[in-house]
Amino acid sequence: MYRSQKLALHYFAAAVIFFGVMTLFGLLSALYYLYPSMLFHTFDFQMSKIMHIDTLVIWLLMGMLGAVYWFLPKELGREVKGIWLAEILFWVFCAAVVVVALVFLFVQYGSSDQFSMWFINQGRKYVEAPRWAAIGIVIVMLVFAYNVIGTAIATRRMTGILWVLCIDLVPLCLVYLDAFPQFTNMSVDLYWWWWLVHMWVEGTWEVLIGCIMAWMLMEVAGTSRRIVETWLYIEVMLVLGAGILGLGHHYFWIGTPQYWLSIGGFFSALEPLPLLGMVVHAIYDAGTHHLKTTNQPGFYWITAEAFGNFIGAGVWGFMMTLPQINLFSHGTQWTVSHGHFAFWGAYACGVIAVLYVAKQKTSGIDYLSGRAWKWGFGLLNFGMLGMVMGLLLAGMAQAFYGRAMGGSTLMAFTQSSENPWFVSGMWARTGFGVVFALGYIVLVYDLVTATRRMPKAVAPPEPA
Amino acid sequence: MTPAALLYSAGLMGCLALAGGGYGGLYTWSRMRLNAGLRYTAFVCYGLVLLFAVLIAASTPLAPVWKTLVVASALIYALVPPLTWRFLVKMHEPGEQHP
Repeated sequence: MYRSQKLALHYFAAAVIFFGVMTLFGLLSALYYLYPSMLFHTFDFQMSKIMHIDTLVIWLLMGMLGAVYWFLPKELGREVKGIWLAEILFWVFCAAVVVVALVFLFVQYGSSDQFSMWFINQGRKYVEAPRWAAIGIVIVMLVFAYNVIGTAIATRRMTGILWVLCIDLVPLCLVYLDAFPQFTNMSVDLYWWWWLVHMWVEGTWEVLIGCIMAWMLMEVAGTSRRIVETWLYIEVMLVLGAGILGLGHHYFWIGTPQYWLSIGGFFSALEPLPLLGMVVHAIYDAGTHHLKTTNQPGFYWITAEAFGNFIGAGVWGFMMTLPQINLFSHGTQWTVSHGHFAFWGAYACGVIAVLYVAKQKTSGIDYLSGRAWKWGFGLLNFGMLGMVMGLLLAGMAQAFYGRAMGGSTLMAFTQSSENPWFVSGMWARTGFGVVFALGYIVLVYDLVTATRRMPKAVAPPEPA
Repeated sequence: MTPAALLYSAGLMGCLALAGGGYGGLYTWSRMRLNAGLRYTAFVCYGLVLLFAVLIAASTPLAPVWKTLVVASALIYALVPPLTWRFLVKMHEPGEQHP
């Protein structure tokens, strides 16, 4: 095993741990809606939400970095260039995340000065980590870029997947930097902040997970390189074509010019179409292989990604993307529902699939299956589906009573938060959140013990 | 937009995309299995896509430009699964394989 792949295993372990932390704080955040005065002035809702969302970003990022460190040496047939630096930075990265988490838990916030920004909380939604930690993330990404590009140069070999990955590394490192400037105009600030959220997370990550899925499909389904690379090029084209200007749906109500309503609405409405193509492709692949593969959990999680992405990003997004509807739905639990489903489908399912592939390869098992992964798969997906339905119900109640009827006043917001439909939705979200948490426990149990329970001599099913 | 029209419009939009997904999924599955029943069901799903598009155009307070976009996208839904299918089959043809 390459040192890079050992590093990947460290990243996967860290990702699974932070996945658990994210789940824990998600459950806690859900409880605040049912018991609003819970932990008042001790650990307020906003800190729980910060922990939930920031660990979401961290575990997915770590999972994807790990996936690239896993597949890269195999792709190029040599150790990753500068792996020692990546190994050091992994521990620095983990230590930094732990320090930031401890600051969020025990210090929480400071006064509005430079010290707070640098050492406590940067104050920007979803990237609250203090400035020193944000710079640390940039350094990690730069070393990651050096590892990938340096290895490709050292081997004097490039594949289609690597070309896409290398080009993607440029915005992956650069776009994150727009989290740093301090604008005093809120519209300008939000304008660039959405670049970070939409372009970095929804754009460059989308291409990154596309590269990882290309390697995964070759590994799990035996799909030829030519086919996966063709699809990857198509995906990049669609991301650039519809995704970049789809950014406009975030610009509807932040003080940007009115033409963003048309641009955002138009390109966002087109986004389900390529996702539909992905569903067709997923079913084609599943049918071609008659659902038989040497790594059942990996294959099912990849398939779940295609469906989750279509329903979460496509259906849920299409429902609320036109400006006339979005005027009422944005910023409600309806958006939260869309966010949960889309992230789950677009990234989380893919990262979990990689975990299973790495598990199989490290333990030398020819055929990975069993019962526990099915429980994990079922509970996690059922829990997620229940959560997003609960959030959708709550969000629709907010949009209906608080926005459309109440006129978006503070009183209307408060009243809609006490509405029985809203409360029922939040109870459902909490209940299904528990189901999701159980699924996480089963997933971890399976990842830790699956290979012990699987006899090494089990023959894989007949290939399709 | 009235509160009821908001939920009605958004619901129809979601149903349209969901029916489109059903059409794409069932169409592909029917071609894999060579199953006429599945194929008819796929076309029923596409019929629902058109129905939802017509309902959006006729009975929601969305602006004409968005209604046009929704109807146009409903028509494009018809093409996506067959074109993707043909492309996939062509890519997987034995003579085309270069693993």
